[in-house]
Amino acid sequence: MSGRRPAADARLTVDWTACEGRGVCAELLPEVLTTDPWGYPLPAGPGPDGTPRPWPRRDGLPVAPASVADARRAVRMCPRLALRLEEDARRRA
Amino acid sequence: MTLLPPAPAPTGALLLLPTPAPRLADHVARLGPVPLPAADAVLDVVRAGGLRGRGGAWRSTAAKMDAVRARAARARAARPGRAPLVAANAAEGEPASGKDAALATASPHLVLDGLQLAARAVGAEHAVVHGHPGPALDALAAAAAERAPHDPVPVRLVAVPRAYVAGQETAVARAAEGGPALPRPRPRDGAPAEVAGAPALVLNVETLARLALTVRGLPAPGPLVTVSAPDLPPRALELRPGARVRDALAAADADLPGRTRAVLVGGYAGTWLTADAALDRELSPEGLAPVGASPGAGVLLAATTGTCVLATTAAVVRYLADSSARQCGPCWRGLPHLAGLVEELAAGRGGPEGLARLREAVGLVVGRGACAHPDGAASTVASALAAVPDDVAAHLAGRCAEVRP
Repeated sequence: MSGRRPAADARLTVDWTACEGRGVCAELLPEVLTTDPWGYPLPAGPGPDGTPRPWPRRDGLPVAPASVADARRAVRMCPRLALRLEEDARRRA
Repeated sequence: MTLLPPAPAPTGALLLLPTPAPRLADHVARLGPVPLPAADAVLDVVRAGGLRGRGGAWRSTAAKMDAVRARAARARAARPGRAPLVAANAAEGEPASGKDAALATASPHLVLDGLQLAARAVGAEHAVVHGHPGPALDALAAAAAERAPHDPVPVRLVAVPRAYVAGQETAVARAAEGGPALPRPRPRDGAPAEVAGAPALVLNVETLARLALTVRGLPAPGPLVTVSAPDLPPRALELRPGARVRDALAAADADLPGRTRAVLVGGYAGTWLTADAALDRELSPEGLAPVGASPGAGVLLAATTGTCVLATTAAVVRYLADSSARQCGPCWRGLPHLAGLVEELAAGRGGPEGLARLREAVGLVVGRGACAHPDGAASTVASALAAVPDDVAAHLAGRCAEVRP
């Protein structure tokens, strides 16, 4: 019950009202994020039919265990403090 | 928007849209005084009745109440005295909707009964009625003043400018704090909206009216809808239980089902269905789910013969783009971009390359905003492309098969 839960459940969320598309997150976390034409973060990788992968609003964007350290850094470095990494499963209770 | 007086329902007495609107004494004479049982008893009735939100999301009202109660218990533990707020949401920014205004005007006391019950269920000590200036808010204000001596929880009016996003749950909470009626991020998606550190239970006026009927043990009324077509201004109708899309259109205009090509179900942030797919579906989440739609706030916008679905979609998406609160980049930049591409397609310009860019633009806005405003526009566009592929093909070839000059 103590310590971090498995990092496989880590998820990124964005405060879209704060984000100004500076692009630091996509630079630090290229395996998870890319940017849209205006610089706002977008899930990396192609979606259906080559269209962008939709952003999972409800649960946030899953972050693989190998990328969690980078994701934490991206959260710390966001100049708008708009990025959040949810690592606690109990938040869903 | 123009709203015609409600037409009589096909069968039975009108529970939600009685005419004339009763004063308190008539209301009590007709339905009896509102019972105000203990909080748990209200919740039991809500749960047993399967009440769901009629503002468009169809979320379980009991689940919403449970979430507010749980959050309120934590808020009280942190700082005693913080009580939750309840709000009757009469904001109806959707241009194709008029049922909330019709209901609030016709049954203000039923709505306010529901508000007191909702306050009881979550232990709220104050309540607001949130809406746009106009006859509906006037009716609610007059009713609230009339019953103030009897109501256990005081009710305050919050009038906000008419805007598409002004009825969003966090916008209601923000306005209750004295801020602008604009959405803001939630602690997390699905969590209750908050007012000054305490949770807010925001319920649509129709949901509240249904709550007041359910607690009285009265049968659940059928769907309350707003039907419109290019030549038919929005019309609010109370239908019999189990009514289908066809019944709703016919109640607005007997000829309408026969001349409808496609229906935008659920409003501007809705789903286009062909008439074949839509007409015989029951007007309920269960009835419409198999064809990928939801009644939303009970809005049906018919595209009749001679109407271009893509041109209608372009106008809808432009309206939604203009309605962005301009708080979230992907919304205020993405929606005008999306609207421009739909306009190109509707005008027969852009070709296959434009269509590919349009599909990409849909993906760019999904899920990326503090509220679901961009997602609604994406749904309307994606469903139009799926519902009328022949129209899309004709427009790619530079002509509209439906509208002949």
